[in-house]
Amino acid sequence: MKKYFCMALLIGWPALGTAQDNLPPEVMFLIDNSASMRLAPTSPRADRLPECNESFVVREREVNGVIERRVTLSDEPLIQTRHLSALQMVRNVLGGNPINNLGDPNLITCFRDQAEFPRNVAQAGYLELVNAGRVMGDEALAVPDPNDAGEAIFYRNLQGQCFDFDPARPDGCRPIRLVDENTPDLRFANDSALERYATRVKFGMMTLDDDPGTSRTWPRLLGRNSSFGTDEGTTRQAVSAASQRFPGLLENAFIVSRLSAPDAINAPNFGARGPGGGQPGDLIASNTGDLLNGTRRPFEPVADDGVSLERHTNYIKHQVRRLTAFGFSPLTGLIHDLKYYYQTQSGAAAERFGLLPDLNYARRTHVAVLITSGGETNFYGSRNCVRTGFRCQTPPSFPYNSMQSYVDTMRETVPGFRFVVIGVGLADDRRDDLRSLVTNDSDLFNVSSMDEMRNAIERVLVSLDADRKSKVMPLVITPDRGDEVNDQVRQLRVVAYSTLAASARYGRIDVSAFGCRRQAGQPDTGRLKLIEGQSIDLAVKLAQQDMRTVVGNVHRRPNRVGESGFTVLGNGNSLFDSNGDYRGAASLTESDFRDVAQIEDGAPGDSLMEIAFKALSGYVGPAATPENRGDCTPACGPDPENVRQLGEIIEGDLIAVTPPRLAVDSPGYRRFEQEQSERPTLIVSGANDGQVHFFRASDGREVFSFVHRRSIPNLKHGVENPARMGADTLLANRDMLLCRSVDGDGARDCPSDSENFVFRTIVAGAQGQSGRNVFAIDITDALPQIKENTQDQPLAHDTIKAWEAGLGFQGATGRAGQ
Amino acid sequence: MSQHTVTRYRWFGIQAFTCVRLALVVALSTLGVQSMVGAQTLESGYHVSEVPLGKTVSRPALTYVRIGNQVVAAMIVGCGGATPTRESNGQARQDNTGGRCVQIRKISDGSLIRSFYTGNGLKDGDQMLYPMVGSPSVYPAIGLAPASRAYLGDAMGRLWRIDLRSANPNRWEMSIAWPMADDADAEFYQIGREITARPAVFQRENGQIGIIFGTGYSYRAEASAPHLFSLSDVLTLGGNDRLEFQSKLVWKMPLRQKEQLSGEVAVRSGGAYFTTVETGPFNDGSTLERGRLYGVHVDKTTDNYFTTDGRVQNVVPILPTLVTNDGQRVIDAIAIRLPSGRVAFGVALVVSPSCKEDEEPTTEVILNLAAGRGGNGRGGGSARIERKTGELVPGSLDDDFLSDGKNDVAIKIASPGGEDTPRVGAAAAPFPRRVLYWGSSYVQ
Repeated sequence: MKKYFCMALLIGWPALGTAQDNLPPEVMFLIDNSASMRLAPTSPRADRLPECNESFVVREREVNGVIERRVTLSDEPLIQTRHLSALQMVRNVLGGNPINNLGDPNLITCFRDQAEFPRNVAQAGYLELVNAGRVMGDEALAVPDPNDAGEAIFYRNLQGQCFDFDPARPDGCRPIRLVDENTPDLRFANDSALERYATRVKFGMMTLDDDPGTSRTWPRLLGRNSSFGTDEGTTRQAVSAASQRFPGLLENAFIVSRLSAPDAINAPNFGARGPGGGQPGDLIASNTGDLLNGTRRPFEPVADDGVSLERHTNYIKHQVRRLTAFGFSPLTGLIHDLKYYYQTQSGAAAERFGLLPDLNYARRTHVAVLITSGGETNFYGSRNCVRTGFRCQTPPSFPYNSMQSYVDTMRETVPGFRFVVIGVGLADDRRDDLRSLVTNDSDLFNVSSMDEMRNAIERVLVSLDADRKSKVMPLVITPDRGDEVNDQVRQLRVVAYSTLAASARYGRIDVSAFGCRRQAGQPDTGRLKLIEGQSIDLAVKLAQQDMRTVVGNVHRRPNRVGESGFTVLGNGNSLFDSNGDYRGAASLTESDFRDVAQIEDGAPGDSLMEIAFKALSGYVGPAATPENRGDCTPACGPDPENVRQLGEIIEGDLIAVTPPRLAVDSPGYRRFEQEQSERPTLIVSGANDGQVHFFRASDGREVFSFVHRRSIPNLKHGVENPARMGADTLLANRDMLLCRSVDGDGARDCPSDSENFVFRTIVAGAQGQSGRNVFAIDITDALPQIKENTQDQPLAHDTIKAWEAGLGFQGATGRAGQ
Repeated sequence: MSQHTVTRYRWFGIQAFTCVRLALVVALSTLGVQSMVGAQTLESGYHVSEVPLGKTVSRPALTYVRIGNQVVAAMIVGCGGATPTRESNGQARQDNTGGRCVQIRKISDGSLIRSFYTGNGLKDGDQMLYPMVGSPSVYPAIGLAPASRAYLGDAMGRLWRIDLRSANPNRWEMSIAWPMADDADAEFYQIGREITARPAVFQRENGQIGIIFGTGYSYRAEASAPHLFSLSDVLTLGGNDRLEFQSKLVWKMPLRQKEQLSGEVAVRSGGAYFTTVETGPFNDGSTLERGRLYGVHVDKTTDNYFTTDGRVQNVVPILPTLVTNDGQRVIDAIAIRLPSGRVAFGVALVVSPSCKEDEEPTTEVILNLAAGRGGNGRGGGSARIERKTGELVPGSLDDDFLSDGKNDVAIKIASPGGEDTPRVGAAAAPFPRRVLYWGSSYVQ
């Protein structure tokens, strides 16, 4: 312990300096790619392999007025599943979802029994090897312990693992890859959980090496599944000594020695795969390897700048997509090798593996994220125990020390170290085992879907960011006639940013009131000063607000009746009542809303609809739940169970909608100006809660918000992850004359007579990084909702008009935009 | 268990659309507008962009356009980028991949008035090979007059111009305003850095229209260093006796290799004010980002001079005389370097009234300093002054360091004797008499 303390003094204390540093943190993913990762946590099958369903697609077409029906071109059923394997989740979440013709990343295609492996399709990157039983035959599956149904073990050279297995040349087996080096990146959506951090975090990857090789095999086996790290308990004497404590060890060792590699008994180096030539599963140090124009460069040094980091992240994504699940789970060896990896980065370890030391090691934050689906293989007996039916008596981690000891050591010696576990469908006992490895319970996740895994990873990454982030231009408002502010106030200065709360990121908008205030004992400089008690945090106001009004718009009305605009929440005929029950509207029945929100049909009030309601209400992310009664961030509101939050604002915008200030002299404008002259000034900002928020500048009340049509399908993610809904966006606004004719009499909707000019107040924007959409909102008629004395008036469906262009929108002219 | 689902082919619709298109081509040809074949506009009767939106990172411009005898409220927007990946922004694609277009839409209903992309509306064979990630600026931007032109940048560092002078949208066209082809001034420029911020468009003292813009993130190793450019875009008599736009370089301002424009350039009273962010590591071992607020004259240039890091400049600083905490007056300041770790993304220019009856209002610069790492402004470092040569002046501006409220800090830069020292032309520089930087304090 004393030794560790001294090391901490030497190495750990500089880590404190990390807080003041701007170095990209390192996140090392430790990916369990053993056979158990082939299981699907949601599968109803007893063996938890993904269950596939067959369906036929009947297509129709009109030929000379006659409807011709036929089954798919091949007249064969589709075999699909929604039960993604654990590794498929990892591939999709880290590497990006394959772009397939199914349009649903959670729906993947299975193979038919005995079907030839369609390699050309696999190269396209969107076909999953999901049902091992179907593809490989059940004989390929071995379950070593009847009491551990979650552990499926494949032996690497079994027939099913190979694309072109030839029994005469078992070593010539080429593992099946879902994607390979020829699979272009554009086959994958740009939606990896790493995307937002691609230029700011140094990612790394370690996978499992279950081949009892030795560290001496590197670099001889470079690029061929070489081992990494030092051996632990590597001598025959150590094994002998251990056999005193573990009866039966030598027998097992004999079996290993006879049937496996000669080195196994002397130097059984398991754990992590070594760095190599860019093969799937090779260790990727955070400072080595990139992808440039589709070319892998596994030994390319990676600097800390954004360009280098993005190329490196692309390399990680590329390699993750190529992982397949097979073999055993020497997890303790993996953690042991992680410790050794950090030694190489610090420069303390010999550079036997060709890794470059990190010159900023002492100042960098280091996070290791273990993603695993199950228990640890009793590995020393290894595959031969499985093959021969021997039961191995050694501890699972033998000959290594306990996983806990390695994590504890790293916690004391590695700068800024944090260990996170993301379990995939973990059993309760295994989850309890792993809990001891993490410092906080919030660093242990147990997920069962892609969304949950994405949320877990993003929670980890978000927490690494600086606690306050902003690229928002400031906004300064001079109060106008309709703004009821203190007489002293001359200016409102507004800034927006995002900050961390409960390990998630939320938005904040500070409105500071400046005016003429004489300070006792201070000379009068004439300068505007902050007015005490007049400043507002709009996020606090939003949390405290009794009710919110949310409006939206659908452009393709599912049933072609009613109006396209709708009120989601608020007074009047809103889609949801205050309890979250769906009341609906003529244009948007519950079934329609489910269609728009991509929520499958279910019982009224089912959980996904409840989640959509909570997301719209602003009850998003971990900080939406009060830590204790009366203890809320940023403030408690009327609902004791929920805290309304403002989504994160980083890239977006602040704009002010003021009363009309055009220098135009026309009867039409004067009418408009008069009608709107006492309109309170609005502060408008998009946030990643999927909404564009309209706040009254004088008192901070959110008078209404607009939810993007593109954001509605993301509502179901928002409660868990407030950054998923997206609308942190750039905006513009202007009072506009919609149309005027410059000669002639003009048309009814485009007059030439200035008496008939129609002015409207327009707010427009794009969806930013989160989507493909541009929109415009006409808020002219919302004046009653904006003014304080009439703000509770119900909002009619057509009060706020909007259009969005990223939806294949049919414009009013009947001509399609795209 | 088998399930049956039904999908309808849309062959009929596809064939019908093709027929309409063919008919349109024939019709246009008959009308003698062969040069516009392929143009898809409101006037032509169909207006479907063949290029989809990318991730829409472009701020729309709200403006008016002339369509026949109508002036219509419209939105101009770049189609965005990151399709399929952000890195692909740096790849030339000729297949009309998403984001490589510009759209003009009616405000009243969102219908597409005109779309520009390779093969549709680009002048002289220009190709829109890179995503249009920039935000457009229009001229004129106020009143009810229709815009005659708009400018926006792409991911490769080219500034595009949209010529909107015609009342016939079929005749609107886009062309590359920067870098200028066959122009010696542009020879040094290697494309590769994106232009995302809305260019500042303004009228120069000589009446010409000026454009100031900057480059940022690099997609190519061989790209030129980040720059600020000031162009004039003038009408000259071109072929067919037509007045055509032609851009001329007024000045170029190279930044440091790891320094980029952050936010938009603001122009006021002959000065261009903008912020930059420089990333480390630096020679002093610091890795904290460095933020700067610059002020340069929009029109004037001077003889070339070298900066301490070897850049050649000819821009004229426009910041007022600044005074350090130890009393040193600096008359050639080009930038205020913010406390280490504090960065800003754009400025707000505001005229603030004085609380003294006999004092005129003051123009101020407001910065949002909510982001960044390092000192929180009150106790963690101070603002510094940089001369036009890049030399950092000893001392700081701590004497005027002001703190208001819970989240804001301010710096007042008072001129000696209460007067601004005239440095530009005969008139006193009207701006700024006071600079504030202000925002939320950073808490690690």
